[in-house]
Order: sequence, then structure tokens, then C-alpha cells
Amino acid sequence: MNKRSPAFATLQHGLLAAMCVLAVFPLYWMLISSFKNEAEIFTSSLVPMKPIWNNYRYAFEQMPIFRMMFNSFAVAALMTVFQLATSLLAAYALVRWRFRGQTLIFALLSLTWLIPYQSIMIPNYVLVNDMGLNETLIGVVLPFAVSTFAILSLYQSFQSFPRVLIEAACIDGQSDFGILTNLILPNIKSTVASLGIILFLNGWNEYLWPMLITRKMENSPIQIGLKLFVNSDTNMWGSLMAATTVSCIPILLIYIALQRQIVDSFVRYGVK
Amino acid sequence: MQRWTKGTSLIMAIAAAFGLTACGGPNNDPDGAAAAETPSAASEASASSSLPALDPANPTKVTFYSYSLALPTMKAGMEQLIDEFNETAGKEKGVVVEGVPDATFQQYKADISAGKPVDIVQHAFSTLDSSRLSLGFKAYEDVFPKEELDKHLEGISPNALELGKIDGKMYGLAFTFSTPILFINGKLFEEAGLDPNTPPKTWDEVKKAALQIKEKTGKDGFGLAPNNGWTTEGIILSNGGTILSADRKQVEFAGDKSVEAIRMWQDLYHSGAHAVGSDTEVSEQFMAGNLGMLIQSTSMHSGIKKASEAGGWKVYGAGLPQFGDQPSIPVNSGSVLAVRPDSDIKAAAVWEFVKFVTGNRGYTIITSQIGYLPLRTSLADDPNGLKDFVEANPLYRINLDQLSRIHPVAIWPGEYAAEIATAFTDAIVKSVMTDADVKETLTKAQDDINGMLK
Amino acid sequence: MSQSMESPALPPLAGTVPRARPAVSRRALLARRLKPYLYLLPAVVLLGIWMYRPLLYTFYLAFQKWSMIPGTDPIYVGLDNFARLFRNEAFADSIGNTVFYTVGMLPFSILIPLLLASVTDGMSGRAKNVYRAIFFVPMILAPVSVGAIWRWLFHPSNGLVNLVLMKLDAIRQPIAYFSDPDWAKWIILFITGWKMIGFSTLMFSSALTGINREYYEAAAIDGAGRFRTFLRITVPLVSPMILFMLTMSILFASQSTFAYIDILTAGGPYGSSTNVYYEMYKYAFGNLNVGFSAAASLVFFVVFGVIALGLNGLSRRLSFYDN
Repeated sequence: MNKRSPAFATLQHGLLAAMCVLAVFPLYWMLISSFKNEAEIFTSSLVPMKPIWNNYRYAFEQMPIFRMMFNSFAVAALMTVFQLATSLLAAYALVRWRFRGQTLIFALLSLTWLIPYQSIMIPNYVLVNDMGLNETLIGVVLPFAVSTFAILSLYQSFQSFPRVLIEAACIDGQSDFGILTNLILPNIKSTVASLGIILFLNGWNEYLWPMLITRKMENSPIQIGLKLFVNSDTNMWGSLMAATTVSCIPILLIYIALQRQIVDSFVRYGVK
Repeated sequence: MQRWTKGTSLIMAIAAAFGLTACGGPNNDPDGAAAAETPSAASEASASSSLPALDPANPTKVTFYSYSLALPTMKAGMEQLIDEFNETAGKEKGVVVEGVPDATFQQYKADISAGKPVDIVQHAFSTLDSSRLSLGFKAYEDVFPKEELDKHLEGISPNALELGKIDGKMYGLAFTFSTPILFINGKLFEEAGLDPNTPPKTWDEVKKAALQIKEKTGKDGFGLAPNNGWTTEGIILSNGGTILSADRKQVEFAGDKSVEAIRMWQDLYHSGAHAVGSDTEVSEQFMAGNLGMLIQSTSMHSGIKKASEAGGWKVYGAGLPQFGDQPSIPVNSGSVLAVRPDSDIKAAAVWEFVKFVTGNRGYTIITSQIGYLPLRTSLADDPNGLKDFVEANPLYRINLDQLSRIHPVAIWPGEYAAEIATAFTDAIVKSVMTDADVKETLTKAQDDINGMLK
Repeated sequence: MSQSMESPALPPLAGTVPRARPAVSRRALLARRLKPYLYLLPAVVLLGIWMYRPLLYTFYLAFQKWSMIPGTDPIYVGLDNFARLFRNEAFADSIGNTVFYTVGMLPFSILIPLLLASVTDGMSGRAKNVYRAIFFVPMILAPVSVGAIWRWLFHPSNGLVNLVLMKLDAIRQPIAYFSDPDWAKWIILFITGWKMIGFSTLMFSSALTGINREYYEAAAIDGAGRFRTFLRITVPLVSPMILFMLTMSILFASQSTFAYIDILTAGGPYGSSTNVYYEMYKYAFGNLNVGFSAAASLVFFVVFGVIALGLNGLSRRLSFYDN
């Protein structure tokens, strides 16, 4: 791997650069389309000649974009918080104690990987309706308040935590809950943060369930609102791209700011 | 909305666990309770000679699910219609209508299954029977007083009244409504050496013109998306073919005449001058000025007109093309008002709204602001109604002329309507787009559907 | 450790190894016994409500006919739903497409990412990070946004892809990517794969980071070529990750196409791009035919269960080799 001919290296970088273009060009095209006027939108020019803001104005008129954005953040953040809370407790119990039924718990956790959401959507939909929670954010979040992926990931991290420290804290008279919050958590902060990022992205990208539960724009995450806009019968590609751009901007900004941590957190959880 | 901010959801989740066995028990939806503030608790609305009096001081709330409210080109007009009702007739009689946008005809189903009050739905034709059977929609004759009903229906084109009838009863009153017309891009026509003022009348002429446009301008000559879902039926009927049997017990779209009609389209599609893509995409191509002729519903007129002005060309129009010298038989697209009042007082409130929106003022707004046809055709000559509008938009004349020949779009029988509609459209798409044997493809779909109906 | 501290002055140590504590009261013992369950309670209860209860309920619904409308009750129809399901040609087609998507995803979830990961792995820190960060961008975008962008790029008459291809004279007629049966499912696959590559690349990168450099150095000394090194060293060493990604890819490929099918083709034209998950959704929420959808779910729960168990067995064997 150390000896590489310059030609080969160039070829390599060329191919990688091509992959990069493939990865980000659609975003670029979205961005410039959103600034093109009605005459220019149908051309293949790579920069808008006369950039306009009209598309954005129209998109904001047609959709409660800020509201939907808030919904998206609330849904993703709430899912993350619930999933972290439930999985911290569960993973802690699984690492800390040996007890009857542990194998069963593990089996129950692993088995959930096999359940596609489409197989359980109907009963969940009926239940959320019966609880009167459709068109509410909590109705969107509730079925995702626990994540087996989070539990199993944290279980792995907890296992590598030195037992000696836990037992020492025990001797010092720390309560079990105290050990979790005062000893373990501060030490695996970055792990939890990484996991939190993954969970947040998952929540942000959730599609089917929010679509079933929220059908009005003002109650729905931006994704679902955008879908309603996509399906409307007009030739509004400029404003559709404007709306899409707006929907991507927050998550892109977060990604640019936290890029290192995000990539690292995926790398970390890659190790199974 | 405050609920979740307090972080009580976990408790709620646990509470739900205990309430598990109560699934399917009484529904405690707060919205539902609020809206159902009517005296008769659950008494079935019944046909009576008169409806109970409404109270203007204590108005009855009615929900109206509308796809037009969800579409940018139609939204403003539909909002105007609802607002005007609430401010005039509604205020006077004691009715408040709340519009609910329903882009994909999913919301009303979802809300009915959630137990919310869904009183009036702007309903598609093709699945009306299915909704009647499974979603509790009521026949007009059963919930509204006969005399008032008969009086109100005077002046509406009788062909249009037939559209929402199933087994002799009216389950929907035609509401927003249009026929397909042939939109023409004047500029491309002239560039190809054609005269947009004498548009093609028959399918043969359409094909000739399309090829000429393709040859002279390089742009596609003609577009009709194979998945359009309704115009197809007009093509079949125009050639003397059939869709449904007379008793609506089975489908009959694989007869020789139907097959011949679809073969014509298949040939046109593969001629090299036919636009490709979905219904939306083909319309977008036309609006972008890259398509010579487009068959589309008149409801697209305002959007098309705007696009043509932006693009610097003029729209012309013609009726649905015909086969040889048999006049074409267009079908309608659009919607009916389907109703499901759950009490007499609700029925009275719903009736007020129906009367307003399908009355003279209602249709004036629907036609001039949204773009559908006035079912009270006399409005087109009424100076207080739509006379000026129709004169400014002569394309509407074509549509109004077609009304006399119109045939109802198929209301697919039974509770499998959605599956049937899919199977029919799929077979048409396959026949037109590929070089599959049309007879074989349609016969197979027909047999499958009839198997489903047994 | 706990044996070393016998002083009775210390508070009872709930949670340490139980047999070492003879002097605690029965109540404390009970509390200690219950403790793990208490910590697990929220997770288990939520899983019970939102995963296992619905799963059982779905099994029940598979034998019923129901439209989800309140006031109506499910009607028992025995095996009728299954019979209709297996007679339904659209469903048979959707199984074919499910297999297509599952197999078609493998290059995007394994082959290309593995190559990208191993190529970037040999690079300097900076270049490596930049490439990986860029590859990852599609992964963070929400499916609807992605769908909207590609729908615009692939628009038949106004989209960039056709404009460029026409300009290059590569095609003479514009292609209607989403309504042409020859293209629709390939485009869906491509978009799903496009979004997947970045994630898988990171996964393999992480697996490669764990590999001891000495293996490569030894290979270099032996004069092994790049490709040989890749096949002989990289692939075997990351084989557990390959298997993990394989399992993930098989289980989730068809689920991740769902959003794009819904947004871009709605399964069409004539069902040529649909898959079983989309059909289940359509049966339930489009046609309000819940029993039918449940029956399909049941069938696929079993099929995927068998596949996953098989892969799990394989994975055990492979990790055995690895040791």
C-alpha cells in the first residue's frame, strides 16, 4: 500500500472525485434551480443568470415552513431523548446485574430487527387513533420511544466500562442510579453523544409513520409537508426546489458544524 | 400541542399499556367530542319532510374535506367559496364550514377511521360505490327533504345529475367538474405550418399534425399520459366500446371496439411524436412550451394559460378527438359532493352548504376562480354569472358543447373499487406503452377484475 | 472484591453479587431482585406496546376482513386472505421486485463501499476525512428531499439528465424514467443505493481501522500486488463486517426503497417498480383492506425470519474462523 505510482494515485483521486461529484451535485442542482426564473428553469445552465427570490417567497406562502421545520426538530429531538433515556436504563440493567429472564430479554430485543414497520403499522395506527393522538407530535414519537439498536449499542459500550470502578463506587455508598448518572455517564459522554447523533438522524429521516399520523401541513414534519407540495399539480419546480433547499439547510448546517463527530460516531458504531 | 412539552409522554405510554385491552372501545377523541355538540347523540339522520331548524346564535359546525384546498392552483378559489358561504348563507342560517385540505383522498378515510366527524367530502367518481359501502356515505334522497332537493336540482344539466347515481339513488351531487379538451400550443402549430384555428378533429388528423410538429420543430407533437385514469374511458367510448356492463356487475373493456381504440393509441404512442411520462410530467412539458397538443382536464386551464403567457405563446383548444365521423364521447373528471351527516341537525347544516356551493353563486366562483365547468349551464349566458368570463376564455365553450355528449366516468362496482381502478389503469398503460398484444392484455385484466367481483 | 468488606457499618449494597450479603432483610432482597426489571421496565413496556402487541394483532388480522372503520368489526374469513394473496398477480410481481431490490442493493451496500473504504484507508488523514465526509452527505438528507431532487433531475422533458443526454446525442427520445417500465425500478434502486453508499463506506472504514497495519506491511514485503492484498487480506479481515452489512442490506433494502417508490412512482407503471412493503401499505391505507395487508406481512415476517436465522448461523461460523 505504501508504494504507489503517481499515475495510479491520480486515477484513484479521479475516481474518488467523480464519486464526490455524484454525491453532492444533486444538491448543487437543487440550490441553483431554486434561484432560476421561469424562463431559465428549463435550461441546463449551471449558474442562474438572473437569480431571483420569488421561488422562496412562493414556497413560504404555500407552506408553514417554519412550523414544519419546528415539528421535524421536535420529533427528531424527542425521539432521541426518549430512546437515549430508555436505552440507558435498559443497557445499564443488562450489564450491571445477572437475573432471570435475561436471555429472554436479549431474544426479544434482537427479534425486533426482523419486524418490518409495515407489519405493525396497522395496529399501531389503530392504537394511536384510539388514544386520540393522531395529528399530534407525541403520536408520531411514541412508537419510537424505544430503540433496540440504542440498547444493544449502549450495552456494548457499558461492557467495556471497567467493573472495578463500578464496584468501588458501590462501596463508597453510591446508589445504583447514582452510579449510572455520576460515574458511567460522564465517562461515556462522547459515546452517548455519538449515539444521539445517529438517533437524531434516524428520527429526522423517518417517513412512513409520520406520513400516516400527520396529514395536515401544520402538524407534520417538513418531509411530509414537502411531499404534499411535490404532489400538487403545478409546474412549480423552482419553488419546489426552494422548499427542498430550505428543508435540507438545517441538517446540512448541523452536518458541516459537527461533521467530524458525526462521521466518527458512525465509525464507532460500525464496530460490532 | 402543549402536552408533549411537559414531558408527560412516558407516563402516557405506560398508561396506554394498561388501556391496551380497551382498544376499539369508545373513542375519546377531543376534536370529535367538540364538533359533535349536536343534540341528537347518535340518532341516524333520516329522510324527513323537513329538517330541524338551525340556530344562527349557536351555529352547527360542519367539516368539508376537499382536494382542491390542497392544490396551489385551486386553493384560493375553494377558500373563497367556503369563506363566502360562512359569511353569507352560513351566518344567516347558523352553519360554520371548516375546510380540510385532502391532497390524496387519504385524509377523509383516515379521519373516518379515526372516528372524527367527516360530514362532506369532495369525492372522486371512480371510488364512490366503494365509499358508499364501507365509509357510510348517505344517499341524498335519504337525508334531505325531497321537495327541496328536487327544486334545487332544477337547472343542472340532467347528464350531470346522472353522474353521482348508484342504483337509482344519488350518492353524490356533481360538484367540481370538467371534460377533457385538446389544448394546443399556437406557436408550435404555426412553426409546423399548421393553423391552430382549424384544429385536428379526428385521431387520424391528430396523428398527422403530431408527426408534422415533430418533424418541423423537433418537439413532441401530442401528449396524453397512459396513466391519466379517466380520459382513456372517453377514447374507448368514442369508438363505441364499453367499460362496465349495463348492470354494473362486471367490467367489459376488452371488446373489439375497445381494443381497436386502444390499438389506435398504442400506434400513436409509438409513432415517435408522442410525449412520454406521467400525467403531471406531460402537462409540465406542455406548460414549458415543449409539446404541441395535450389532452387534459379544463381544470388545468388557468395554470396552462399562465404558463403560456410567461412563455410567450398562445393556447388554443379543441374537443376530444373522434374516430372517423362518430362524434366523440368524453367522460367527466372532477368530483361529487358526498355527504355523511350523523344527525338531523347536521343534515340541515350540510344541506345549506350543498345548496350554496352548487347554486348560481357557487358555480360562478367554481368556474371563474378554480376553472371547473358550471353545471348550471345557463350561467354561461347570464351577465350576472359567467357571461364575461366565458367570452374572455373561449375554450370553455368547447367544454360546454361537450356536456351534451358526456358520459359518466365509470364508478367501479363494489368494495374492491381501488383494486379494480388500478388493474384497469395498469392494463391500459401496459397496452399503450409497450408493444404487448392489446386484446390479450385487456382480456386478462378484465378476467382478473371479474374474478375479483364474484 | 465484595468479600473484602464485611463491615456492618456500611449501607447495604444493593446490586453487588447477591450471595455475598447474608445480612440483608427480605424486603431489601426483594427490592434488589426487582431492581433490574425496574430499570428495564420502560424499554420492555414500550417494546411490548409498539412492537410485540401489534405483531400479534397483525397475526390475528391476517385471518380477518376489516376496513379499520370505527363501528365495524373484523370478520373472520379463515385462510381467504392468503388464498387471494397468492392468486393476486400484482403481489407475485412485487415479490420479484423485492428480490430485485434486495440483490440490486448489494453493490451499493457492500461492493462499492468496500472498495471506497479500502482506497481511502490508505490515504493521509486529511484527504481520507474529506472524501468520507462528502460520501456521507446523501445519507443525512431526508427521503422526500432526495426524492424531490432526483425527480427534478430525471424529469422526462425538463430534467437535466435528459437534456444532457440529448445534447450528447446519446439518446434521441427523452426517457420517462419514472413511467417507463424498463427504467422505473432501476432508478428507484439507483437512488436508494446512492443514499446508502456513504453509510456503508463509513462502516467498512471503521472495520478497516481496526485492522493491524502489520498485515499490509508483511504483504508488501512479500511483494503482493494491490489487488491481491485486497482479496487476500482486506476481504477476509473485514468478513464479519461484510456479513453484518449483508444481513442489514437484505433486511432493510426493500424497506429503504419504500419512500422512493411512494414519492416517485407509486409502484408503477403497472406495478413494475413496487415491492411487498409498498403493496402492504397500499392494501391497508389505499384500499382499506387490512386483512390482506396483514396476511402479506405475516408471510414476509416468516420469510425474512428464515433468511436472518440462516445468516446468523453463517455469521457464527465465520467468526469462529476469524478466531
